[in-house]
Amino acid sequence: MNLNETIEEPPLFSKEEVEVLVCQFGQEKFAIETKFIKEVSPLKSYTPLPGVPSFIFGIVNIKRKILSIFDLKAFFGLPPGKTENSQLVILEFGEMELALLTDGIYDIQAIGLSQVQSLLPPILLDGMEEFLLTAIPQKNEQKTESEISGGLICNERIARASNEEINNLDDSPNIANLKIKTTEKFLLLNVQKLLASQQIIVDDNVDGL
Amino acid sequence: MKEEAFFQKLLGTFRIEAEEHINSLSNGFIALESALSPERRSQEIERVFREAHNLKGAARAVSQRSVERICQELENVLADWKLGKIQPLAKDFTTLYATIDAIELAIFRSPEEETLLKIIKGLEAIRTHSSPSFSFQSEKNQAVETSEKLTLKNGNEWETTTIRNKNESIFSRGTEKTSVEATIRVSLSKIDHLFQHAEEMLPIKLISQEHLSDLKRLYVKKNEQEKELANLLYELQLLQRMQQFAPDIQSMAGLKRADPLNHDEYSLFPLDKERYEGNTSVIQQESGIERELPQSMYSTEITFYYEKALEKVLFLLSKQQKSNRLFKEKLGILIKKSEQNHHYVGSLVDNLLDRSKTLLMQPINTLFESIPRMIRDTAHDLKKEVYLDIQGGDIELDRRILEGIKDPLIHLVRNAIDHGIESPSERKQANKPPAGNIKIVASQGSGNHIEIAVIDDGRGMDIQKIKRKAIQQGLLSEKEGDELSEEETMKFALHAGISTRDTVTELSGRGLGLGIILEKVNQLRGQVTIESKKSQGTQLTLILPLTLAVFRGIHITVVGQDFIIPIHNVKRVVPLKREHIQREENQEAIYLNNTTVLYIHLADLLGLKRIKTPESLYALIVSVAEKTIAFGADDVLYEEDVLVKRLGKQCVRVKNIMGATIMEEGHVIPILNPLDLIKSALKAKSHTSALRNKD
Repeated sequence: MNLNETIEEPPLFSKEEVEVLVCQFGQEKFAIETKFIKEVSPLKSYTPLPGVPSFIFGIVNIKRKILSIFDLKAFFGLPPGKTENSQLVILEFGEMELALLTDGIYDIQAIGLSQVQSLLPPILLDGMEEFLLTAIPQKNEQKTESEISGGLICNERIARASNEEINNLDDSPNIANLKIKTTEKFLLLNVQKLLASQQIIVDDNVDGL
Repeated sequence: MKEEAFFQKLLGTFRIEAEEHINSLSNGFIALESALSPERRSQEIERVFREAHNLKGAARAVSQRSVERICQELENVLADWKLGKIQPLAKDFTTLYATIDAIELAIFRSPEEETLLKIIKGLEAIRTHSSPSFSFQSEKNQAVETSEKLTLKNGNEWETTTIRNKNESIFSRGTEKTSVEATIRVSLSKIDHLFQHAEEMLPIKLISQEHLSDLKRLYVKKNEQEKELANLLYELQLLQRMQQFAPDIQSMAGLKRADPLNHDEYSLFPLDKERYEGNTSVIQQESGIERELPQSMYSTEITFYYEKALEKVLFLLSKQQKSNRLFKEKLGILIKKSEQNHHYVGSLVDNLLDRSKTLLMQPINTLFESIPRMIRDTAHDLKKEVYLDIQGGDIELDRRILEGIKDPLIHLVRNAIDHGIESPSERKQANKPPAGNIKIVASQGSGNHIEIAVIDDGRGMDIQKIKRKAIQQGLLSEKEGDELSEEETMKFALHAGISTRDTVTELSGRGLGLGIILEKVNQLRGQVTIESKKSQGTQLTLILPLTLAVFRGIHITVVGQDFIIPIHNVKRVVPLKREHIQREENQEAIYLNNTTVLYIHLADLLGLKRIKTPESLYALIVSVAEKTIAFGADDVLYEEDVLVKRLGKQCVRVKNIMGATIMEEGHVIPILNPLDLIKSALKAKSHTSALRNKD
């Protein structure tokens, strides 16, 4: 498959653009605004922690710093766990820094801000819609920037490898998923809201004694 | 005496601070003396005014009255400048520089009253401009003259000359100066960063240790190989000799030896198929015997080639032996070098860490400072009388630990006043002096620990009350309660939810007090002990490590997962056979020194899946807050220094896990939290007993 073929499309959207990285989570694809991404690292050695909620997949050493691995699938009530293509996307916002477990990453795209549609896709995420934004490929100039805090994906293109890790994915079966249908809604992870949420924090005490 | 020492310390700090103010003042005067824009001028006046004011305040704080008085007068002059009441005149600066010099002197030694008055008069003269020819006759006379000369020179020269002037005066007071170490102020965060980096050096030391032992293992292996090789060589040589003495076996067959020169000297098996077939046919022709002869010829030929092969093997082996020896020699040198390197790196890292640690060390006095006031207020509120005695405030402790024990300590002291010390009338009845005594004693404990004890001479803890509460809360059965010794009962006072107070006061008595203290101190990897005698008083002791970040841990595995457990809570490690574990009413226990210790396998406690208890395992006897439990682990690997790191920002607190450490090869290993483990184990126990009761 020639990945570069469709990339030449002229941008459909306004100049106000944000850069996003498309990531796979089970059957879903969510886009993440790149300004929150510190780095991407393949999931190699990690350490599971006993007695933590399922959304803490484990801990990992990233440049001699310990980060928690956040399993968004478990958090969203989707079938959790890693795959052979798992990549860690290191996210940082405010005080929070964590390694997001993804089932693979695709390309970095520029998305027009004006394309944001208001939210709430009828998806199967159990009350977790608040952490997602959606967009359909239509112009909607009324939305303000604050409402689309995370940025979004609304174009659909075939992914272009944007760095080495993605190049390595070329031979993987996931490459078939790279084609995104034009009619598909894009889901954008609301990183600011997610990383500031108390719901992702583990603060467990053992009572007694 | 202690107070005196503390005051000296404060004075030292003041002197350092004063130096800064003085430097700033003289810089300000130098600037003001030169031609400045009106705007800059008023800024500069404002600045020196504030400097003088601050210096005055600092001097007052450490009762340096003469400095305070001079500064007050200086401040007055500067205030008049500020308000524009008077304009600075060139000659005024002479007085001002002299004043600064006088302050500098006064900081170290109170000046004579006469000198002091002269300075003050001089400053007053500026304000009234009444003394146009002020002359400062004192020990700083010379400095004044120099300063006067300065006013005649141009701006560029002033500064250098002034500095020289200052240097001279510093030189003349050299002996006094050395009492103050040169210091600069550095922000805490910078030091913290530096310290973190220094701590990161620790793995380097550990790595070099690893490499050294790897090399040593290699050497041992090589040594064994060498011995084996020598043995083999010896045996083969023996074989060769035996064969040389029995050459007739070959000639008996009536055969010529094949020409050995035809063979490649180094090929071990020159016997190829073609040759073998060729030879047999020759032999067959010569002898005419068809079956048996090839057989014997074959074996003869083989013997011959064996001999050849042996020769070659021997040759190669001896060659190998030689190179082995060389290798070993090189390895030996490498080990020596690596050893030196390890010692060097080790001492460098240790030094760096130790030095960095001292950057973070502060005397406990900084923590004790607020306590007298707190005690006075609290005692006053409760209408009690309390004397306070603080000892050992000069012991230094990691700042992070100091911060960590601030609340527990205040809590302990409040507890002592509220619960411990009786009201004056009560004390009289008990034949005690009306004022209670609270002692706070910090002391260097054993090893790398310090102890802070809060001792009161109050009513002591009510053992019966603690027992009753413990039974009420289901921590004890009535029967157990009867059998419990006073000492053992006391331990329950540390449990959250137990308070001997029936009423909740604002200060304490919520029953959380001691439990919270235990929790906090445990976070710092410290311990709490408690001693109490009825109507004699109570002593609570915090046992704390000197530093936080690095500690010794035991590396264990639980169903294939690695964990580290801090060594200071592990009383013993005992090898265990499965049959040693006793099942008693749904819970497991082991016998240890004639006592039963509750046992739980870590896999069960941590919720890790395991198939069944292996034949042999280990029990870690862990003690926290006087509670002892045996934890099962599948393997106990070794002890090591570990650097504690947090579990990432998402995991603020994870039960049973206090942090993690990064191993040399980058693997992350969780560190178990002993207090949590014990809590969890007791919880699991009470859970199973609850189930039992339901049945």
